[in-house]
Amino acid sequence: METYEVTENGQVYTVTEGAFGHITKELKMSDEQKAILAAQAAQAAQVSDPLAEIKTRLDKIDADLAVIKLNTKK
Amino acid sequence: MAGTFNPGAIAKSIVNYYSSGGVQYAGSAGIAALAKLILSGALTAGAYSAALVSVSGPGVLNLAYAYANDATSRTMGLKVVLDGTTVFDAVSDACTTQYNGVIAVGYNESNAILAYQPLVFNSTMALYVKSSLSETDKITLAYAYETR
Repeated sequence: METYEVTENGQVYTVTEGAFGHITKELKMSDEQKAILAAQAAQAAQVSDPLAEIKTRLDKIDADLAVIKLNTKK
Repeated sequence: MAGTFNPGAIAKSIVNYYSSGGVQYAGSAGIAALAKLILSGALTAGAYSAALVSVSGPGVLNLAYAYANDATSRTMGLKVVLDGTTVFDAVSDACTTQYNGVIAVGYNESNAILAYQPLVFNSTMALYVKSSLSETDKITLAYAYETR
């Protein structure tokens, strides 16, 4: 597999020639662009936690149980 | 033909919610685990970029979608070309929400998971994006493919 870069119209592409004859060409991301994408990933990981709703409900149940226990002791 | 992946007919067109101007949540990087993400680079208003991604050789395109990186009002275009045939070329309605955009290939599930929609190609695949604005890196292209 061979990988190299080409510049076309001011944009840099990464070209990979695979062992099975495939040639792929993708716009190369700079370190700054990678940082933008990484920030998106971090943000999305926070907002898309599939357990977030369940965690919130468990917290509320815990709080309710604490109140019930407190009232029971009285 | 030896060396050619040929499981059946090649897609000639993709019709879905987004193919006639729809725009809605198309993904944040919550679905990045499934997709490779690249920014659009410099775009000229109304004009498709040069192919941001292209493959020469047989393979399968599993995901292709584009979304806005900020809330600036714009329309976005996404074009998918398989074996020289433009199978998807759609422009969204005005998008004013970050992470909203256009899905050409794949299915959005629960706003967090994007399911693969495998589309085979025998010789070439290319993906293009455009914006109604002249701007740089304000649109993310997300995709997943495999070569065979």
